Parts: sequence; structure tokens; C-alpha cells
Amino acid sequence: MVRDDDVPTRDAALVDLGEADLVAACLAGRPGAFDVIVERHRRPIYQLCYRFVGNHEDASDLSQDVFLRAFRGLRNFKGESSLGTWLYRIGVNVCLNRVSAKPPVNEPIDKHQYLDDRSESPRDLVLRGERAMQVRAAIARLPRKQRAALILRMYHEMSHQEIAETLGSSVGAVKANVFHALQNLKKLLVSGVS
Amino acid sequence: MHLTPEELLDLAEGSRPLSSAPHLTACEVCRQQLDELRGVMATLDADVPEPSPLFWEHFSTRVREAVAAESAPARSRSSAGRWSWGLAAAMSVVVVAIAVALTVRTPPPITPAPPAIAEVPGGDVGSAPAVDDPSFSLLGDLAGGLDWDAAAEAGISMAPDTVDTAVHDLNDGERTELQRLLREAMATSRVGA
Repeated sequence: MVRDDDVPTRDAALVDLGEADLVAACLAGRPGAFDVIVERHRRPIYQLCYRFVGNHEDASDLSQDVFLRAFRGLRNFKGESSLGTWLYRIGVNVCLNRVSAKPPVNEPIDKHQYLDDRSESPRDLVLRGERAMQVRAAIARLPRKQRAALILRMYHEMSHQEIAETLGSSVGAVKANVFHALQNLKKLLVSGVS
Repeated sequence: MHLTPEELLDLAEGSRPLSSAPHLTACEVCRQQLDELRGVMATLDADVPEPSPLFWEHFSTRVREAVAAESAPARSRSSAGRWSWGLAAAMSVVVVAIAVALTVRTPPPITPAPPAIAEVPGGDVGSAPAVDDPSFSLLGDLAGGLDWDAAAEAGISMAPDTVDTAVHDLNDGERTELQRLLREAMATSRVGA
């Protein structure tokens, strides 16, 4: 699971703590401890949210909501899974709730995006951006469970077992959802959904 | 019998070797499905656009502020609770202190002990043997030794135009005469009773 460790934090002693100690420090009210958790996991959580909703504004709001819920429920984290998996579980629930209430709005590729264009020609960059946008738009039209299973499997490198635990289903159901998600995705991309 | 979706996915993801599915060699439908799965998966390499480098710091700040706002009401509720208990305790101490001070500075009015009606059958309430009451003796002893000036300096004051004020204004000779008259009156009252 990806962690966002490349951002300097304020308390060097906290940065060196393992997950369990960091959670304990948070629960003990140690200043800055939750900041370290946020800094470690904000990028993958943001990416998860972005893949669900397809735009920066909603992804940013949802990511904030994920961490706020995590802070509220930190006492419930028993360490049975990794902190990242636990945050993903919160993230998926937050995203699925939002997706139910509000259809995703995909943004144009040049909005709010910092593109590293040093290794690609402008033409390649545009083509890649357009293709990515089409894929995101197609994913946004998948049924909720299929979308969640596909995103966690294809983009966040979670095992079928981890996805099953996150979504509260079986491994067989997760595989079936990924399979049907891929089939539906092919149809959507062929039909030129955008 | 065709491959199940689960088996096809495992083959497409590479978590299961092709050699474990000999059915593929004989089934065009399953082979086509597997190719399509692989093709779609190859299109999923689209990265999430990276936000501005400044975004992450702003994001952390927003989360920090949201968490602080989340904790603030709980803290204020708990401190308010502590404050209210502290205030109540302080108020209790103040009330007790005021009550004690009032008790010391303003002695309660001395009321004569109620006459023992049952002990004087048929007797008048007003003709009770007050002189024999030990509390009157105690009062007399205390009043006899009272230094009025010291009492005034101690803050024991009297309201103007009262009997207390009139007694206070008497000289020593007049007070002695007043005591004599009072004793005579009480003795007469006792004899009459």
C-alpha cells in the first residue's frame, strides 16, 4: 500500500513511530501525532476519492471527511488490519455514500492539475490526458460495488481478501464484481462515453 | 463447461497460470473473454492527476482545523463542567462564610424560653416565672460585664431610637439605678405570681 512519506513533518520523533505507537500517541492527545497520520496517508486517500468522484474539489472534500471520521473513530482501530487498509475502508464508505447522493462530475484534464510534462511531448500529454479522462468517466458510471472493487484492485493494489474485508463481502463476490466491472468498462469505452 | 468469471479474472491478473486452464485451448469463447479482460486492464493505467504541490500543505491544514473544531466543543464542555462545579463549590464557601459572619456580627434575637405551660396548670402565660429561668441569669451575668465601648469598636452597633441606644447613652450611675429598678420589678413580679 502506498504511503505519502515525502512531506516533512513537524515532530521528528513522531515521524519515526510505527503505526501502533502513532495511534497510541494520537489517543494520548500528543500534539502533531494525527498530523503525521494525515501526511502519511493523504495522497492514496485523495487518489481513492478522486477515482470515485472524478474531480479535484469533491475528492479534496471527501478526503478531508475521511480523515475527520478516522479521527473520531480512532479508538475503534484495533490494529487487526493496517492503518492504511482501515483508512481505505472509511474512504470507500465515504465515497459510496457520496456517490449514492450525488452523481460524479468529471472535470476537464487541465483543471486543478499539476502535470509533470518534462518527459512527454505536448501532443502525447494531451492524448494521455484525454484517454485518462475517458477511463475515469467510464469508471464513474459503473455500479457502486463494481466501481469500488475495481478501483481498490486495479489502482490501490489491494488483494481480493483485503477488498472483501473493506467492502464487507466475500472474495468470490469481489472477483465477480471486478470481472463484471471490466466487462462493463469495455462496453462504455467502446461506446465512447465521456 | 466454460471458465467462471473468477477463473478468468485470475488468469487475466496472472495469479493463476494458463497451464492450469486446459479448457482455453479448446474454447474460443473463453479465449476471447480473457483477451478482452486483458485489453481493458491495459487501459486502466490512467493516473490520478497530481494536484498542485501547495495542495498537500493546505489539505493538512484544513484537516488539522477540522479536527481542532471537532475537539473544541468537547473541551469547552468539559471545562465548562469543571468551571460550574468550581463555581458551585466557591459559592457554597461564600454562602457559609456570609452566614457565619452574620451570625457572629448580629446575634440572633434572644427570645425567652417558652413558659412551661404544662408545669403551671391553670396559670397565665404572661405570669410565668421568668426570673427563675437560667437563661435570664446567664444574660444578666453577660450584660453586667459588657464593655459597651469595646462592643462598639468590635462593630456591634445599635439602631438609633431603640432601647439599646437609650441604654447606651446612660452614664454609669444611671445604669446602676436602672439595674436596681429592673431587679425590683422582677422581684415584684415573682412575688405577685
